[in-house]
Amino acid sequence: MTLEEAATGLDVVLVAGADVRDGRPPRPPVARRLAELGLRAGAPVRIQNRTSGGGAIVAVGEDRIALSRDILRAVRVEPASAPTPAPGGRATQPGPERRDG
Amino acid sequence: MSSRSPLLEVLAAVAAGAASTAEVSRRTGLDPDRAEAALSALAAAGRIRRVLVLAGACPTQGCRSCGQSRGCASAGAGSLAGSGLSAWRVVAR
Amino acid sequence: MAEPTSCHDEHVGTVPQGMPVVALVGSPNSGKSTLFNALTGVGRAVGNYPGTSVEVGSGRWADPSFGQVALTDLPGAYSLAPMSPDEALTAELLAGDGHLDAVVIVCDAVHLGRSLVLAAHVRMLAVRCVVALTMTDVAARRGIAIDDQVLSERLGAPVVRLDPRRRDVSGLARAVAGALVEPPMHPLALPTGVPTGCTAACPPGCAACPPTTAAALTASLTDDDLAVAEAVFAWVSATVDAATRRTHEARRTWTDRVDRWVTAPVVGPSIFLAVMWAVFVLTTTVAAPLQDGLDALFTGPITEAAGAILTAIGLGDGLLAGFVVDGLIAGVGMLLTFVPLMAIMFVLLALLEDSGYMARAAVVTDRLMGRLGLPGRAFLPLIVGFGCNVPAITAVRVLPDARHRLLTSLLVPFTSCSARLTVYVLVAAAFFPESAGTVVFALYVSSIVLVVLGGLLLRSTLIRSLGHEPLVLDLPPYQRPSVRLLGAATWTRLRGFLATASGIIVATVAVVWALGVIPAPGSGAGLGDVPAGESLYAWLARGLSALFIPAGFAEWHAVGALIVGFVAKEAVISSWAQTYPAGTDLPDALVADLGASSGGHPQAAAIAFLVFLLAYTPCVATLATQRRQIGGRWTAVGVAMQLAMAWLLAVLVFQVGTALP
Repeated sequence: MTLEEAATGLDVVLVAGADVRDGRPPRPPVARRLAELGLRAGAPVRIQNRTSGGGAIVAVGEDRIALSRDILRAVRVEPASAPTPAPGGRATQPGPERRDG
Repeated sequence: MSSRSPLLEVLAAVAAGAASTAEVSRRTGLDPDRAEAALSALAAAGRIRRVLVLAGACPTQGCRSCGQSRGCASAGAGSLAGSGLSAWRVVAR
Repeated sequence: MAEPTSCHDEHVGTVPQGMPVVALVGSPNSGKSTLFNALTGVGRAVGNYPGTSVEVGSGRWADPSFGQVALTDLPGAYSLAPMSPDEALTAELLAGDGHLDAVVIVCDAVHLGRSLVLAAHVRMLAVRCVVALTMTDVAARRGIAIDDQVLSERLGAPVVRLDPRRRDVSGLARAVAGALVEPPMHPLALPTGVPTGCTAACPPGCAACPPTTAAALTASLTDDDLAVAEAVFAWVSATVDAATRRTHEARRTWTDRVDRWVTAPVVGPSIFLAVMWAVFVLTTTVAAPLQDGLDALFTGPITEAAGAILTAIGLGDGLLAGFVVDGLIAGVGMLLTFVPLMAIMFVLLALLEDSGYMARAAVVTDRLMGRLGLPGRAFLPLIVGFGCNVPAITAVRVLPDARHRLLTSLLVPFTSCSARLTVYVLVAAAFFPESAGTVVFALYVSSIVLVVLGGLLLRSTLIRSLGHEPLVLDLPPYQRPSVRLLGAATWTRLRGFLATASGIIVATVAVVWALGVIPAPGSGAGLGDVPAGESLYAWLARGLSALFIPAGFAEWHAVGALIVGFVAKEAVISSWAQTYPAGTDLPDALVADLGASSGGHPQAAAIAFLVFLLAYTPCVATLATQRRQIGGRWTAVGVAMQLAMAWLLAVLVFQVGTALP
């Protein structure tokens, strides 16, 4: 399911950081920003509450991230108890960039 | 996993635009308390400092002429790092 | 025991010979000041440490364990590196020779890592230490458990836990008493934390000896290859590992609970509107009396004093006197009346930012502002603009994207500020005695419409391709704003405003005055002795008024007021007072003049006039601030847009108004 469809308060795990939907992934700067904030494949998250305008506040560990509706639709998640597929078996998504120097 | 020292990782994170302890903690993987210790140690060594953001630190010609716009909390598309009044910056040497 | 030295002559609270001197060090929010107040009671004082500009507290701490010690509260510091005079003094005193007998290092259990950096620096020196551990209750609530024993072993110094509820400092006193009778401690070699074994008897040049001067300490801390910083961090990291344990994961329950309401549909936007209303009201109502007071001060005592001085030196009635009084002093006075407004605005802005609410406001307004092509935070400058455009343009800085800042800066002038309101009220009451309130309300609605229209216009022409970024925003926990930070931010912004606006305001007021005393070409009057109708001002106004024939108010008093209004809207009414003969009933005169210029449709002309006033350039202070924010070229674009829209709307309104029955 997408993050938008997840129930409030349910612990879920990101299946892929910023998935493809309608054939168009979010633009790289947004995907990078998501990864920087901890929204990567395998990350456990939880919807804290819905916000006005159709978005939501998502709990990632101790942090709270506000996401708008279009981002919620682009992120796929699974309930935390379900077995997650092996890493590498999914479409690639931009991971955190390695910065050298 | 990088073999660089944690201090240099933190310094790199600030150089890349991390402006608050939370940002540094996220980027480097250090827990917040340790990230703060690293920031204090780097500040004591004179490598980084805290600056007021949104407070006249910006040049009159706009961000293009600012040498620090890459890490600036007030500029840059989509980045709302360091929301708040102060942020860490690398000291130019 | 400490020896009194000559620099204690003016010491705040003299130190009798033989009394031990103990200093408190710690980071700014570690509870150090609270501890100092608890220990010293009556007789404490705050003052500059002699020979410096650094504020220290000093007092006496009495306890059975040691009788009395002189306690000095050193400024809060995160390390001993001299980043400011405060830290430099602390380093000086600790590394120096014998001014201090012991040091109490105040460590915050909630931020142990950070506190230990300072502790590590202090332990690099040869000075007796006791560590006081504060905020242990808060730490416990957050799931942080600290083992005092392990911590004490790592630090090589006694650790005393302070419980704020029990208010019992006898444990600390005993530890200090115990330390005072011991010789100074062996400093720690970092990162291992092993005592160096160095003593006072070490030969000079001992490589392992601790730095004995502040300069040596600084050199060591700021070395180029970060060796000492790395060693400090490694020791701190190992100590935190050894001495702390997580009992449970920290929960941000308080912040989460508040956010559930603050960002919720319906409730969130309502709270937001309430906050914005409060900002608007505070800036106008609190600032207004201050502004009036400053205004009265300048038009009253200061003007009289200036007049008296000029008369005393024999220049009382000349042109120079007019320039100084009606030009310079009036200009400076006007500039300074902005200061209370700006200061309050900046404080409120900083408060919203630092407390963390601003991020939530961005979430709530994201969708609505998205339709305008702006991020949610743009709501704030626009709201502020209804009070005054000048701080509103500065408030545009809360937007991170430069193009959003540009767009919002260009839209702020369309928000109808409170100075314009004064003119609305006068003119509406004169021309629409029964429905003045409705007219004013309609003008405010038009202002909002103009903002939207202006936004659409700009986004479809000059500022295209302004994509709406999806919202991905980190919400920090709410925190109590730091008063110091608030003060620093406000002062810096205020300074920026004064630097920007001062020159231009004073200059334009002087120019308008000059126009009023220079006779028009062809007038026989002498310089400085010109009736209003024959001044250069009136001549220019008549010339320009031709432009306003289709708008129905091609009359020099009205057009002249608009010229003056370009400088500052507050001056519109006073310009009428100056240009009509003394004793005229202003409303009647206006009705008569506009009736004539409009061919018998004074009301339509009045509305056209007000619409023009609403939409055209706010005032030179706004222009100056805009120029600083978005540059001269875009400011000029803005002026062109404002004048064009104002003229078109005024003409439209008048033509439609005269066509109606």
